[in-house]
Amino acid sequence: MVNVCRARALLLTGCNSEMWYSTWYRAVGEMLVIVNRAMTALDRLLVLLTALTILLLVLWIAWQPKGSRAVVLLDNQIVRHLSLAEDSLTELVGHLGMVKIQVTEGRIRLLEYDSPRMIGSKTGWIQNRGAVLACIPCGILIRIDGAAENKADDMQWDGVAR
Amino acid sequence: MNSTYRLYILPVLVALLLLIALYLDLLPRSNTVQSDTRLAMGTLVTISVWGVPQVKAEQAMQKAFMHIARLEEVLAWQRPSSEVRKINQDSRGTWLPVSEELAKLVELGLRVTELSHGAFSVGLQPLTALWGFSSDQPRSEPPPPAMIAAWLAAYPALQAVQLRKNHDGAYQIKLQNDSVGLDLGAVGKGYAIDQAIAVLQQEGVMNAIINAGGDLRVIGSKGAQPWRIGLQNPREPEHIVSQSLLRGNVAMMTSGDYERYFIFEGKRYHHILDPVTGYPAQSGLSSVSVQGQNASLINGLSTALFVLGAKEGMPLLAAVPGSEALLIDLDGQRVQSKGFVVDWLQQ
Repeated sequence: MVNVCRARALLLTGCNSEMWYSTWYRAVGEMLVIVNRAMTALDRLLVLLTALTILLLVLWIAWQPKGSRAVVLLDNQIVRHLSLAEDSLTELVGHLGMVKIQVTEGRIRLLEYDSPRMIGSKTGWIQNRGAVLACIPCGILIRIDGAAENKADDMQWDGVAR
Repeated sequence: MNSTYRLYILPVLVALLLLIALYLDLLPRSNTVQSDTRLAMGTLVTISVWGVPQVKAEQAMQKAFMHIARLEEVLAWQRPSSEVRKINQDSRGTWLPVSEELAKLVELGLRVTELSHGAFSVGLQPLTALWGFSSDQPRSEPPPPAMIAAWLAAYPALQAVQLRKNHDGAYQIKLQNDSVGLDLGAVGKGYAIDQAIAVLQQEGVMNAIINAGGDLRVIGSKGAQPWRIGLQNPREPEHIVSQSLLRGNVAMMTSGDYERYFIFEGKRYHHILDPVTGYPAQSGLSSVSVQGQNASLINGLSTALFVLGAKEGMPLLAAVPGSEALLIDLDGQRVQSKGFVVDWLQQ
């Protein structure tokens, strides 16, 4: 009966829901018992290590916030990595002189520099993964770490014509 | 029996790890848009690709950026070692050797010059330098009228830049006099975009967008969806006035009076210079966007249309098959050709 019902459950036909549930419950139980009996000490160690790896992976991802680091480029060459987890004020010499880069509460901005249009400063704070901030005359580009990956179905602009 | 089950343990665990990694977004995927941004050609250049694994996408984008950087070294008159700079520093009125790559771009620019009856020129470098819009320290007031008048008196209009191909296939260029210097800014960005797209395609990327400071070209799509392009309001930069859903092979180049400009005594002076007057074009337009397949060509076309204005510009547009345009005047009124792909957004 169990085998017949299990086959039916697989096809999602026949057997009432209670029977279907109990059949699968029993099948999984049987499977675990068989697997447990089949495992050697080495197998168990392997399972334990895998479980630990998964746990550590999950914890690492959970601990690591997205966009936690900014990359500072001068003439497209990386010159600094700045953690967004710690408030800081960094000075950097660009093409037009000293540029100050401020990090506060996980955000980053160009604070003070000498540029004709000050577009980098007007951009204000950036904090999202993949976001960029630039002072073109200074040759400085700041990018929040991580590729700016947009889902294919999201509603952001793929480009703005201007 | 036991050994049979043992065989399954490892694959099941590996599959479990992979599933978790996928869930946590750790594995490279191909159904996302992957982007990279660099400084190039005096602006921010963003390359976005879709449909290829992350490693391949990064390699392709890197090669495309390297190609843009190489072109900049050839084409930018501001670069000390560029071929254009060397030609500009050489003597006038004599034929000078020029590389085939540069010659073909100049040839394209001369075609737009001819079609626009001189409303567009690739020989305006001295005038551009006089106005200083490309300078790191741009002017806040116009240059003295006498200087512009002197330039205008010397500028040889349609004869400013001449190009020829010798019997041996080598190209030569002649800049007529000191009022002439090569400035390929109005076609160079489009050319760099076209070339970078070609690099991406050689690398197996068939779905991409390259956006160089608001001038862009797309190929392919994002899976079932087109690339979604917004158009900036000429007078309110933070607002998008329309969307263009582009797929396949379409470039969209925009010329406007709002990118590089200054206001002096209540009047706006922008970077799109009219070779006929020596002053920023006063055609009544604030923005011109052109769509077509060849970014280099429509790059020049958008500038020429801006200088000519709506009335004189539309016949020029008709002379370039496959190009479509949207013109926005100073009051925000729009004129567009029939095939321009655009949906207007509610304001």
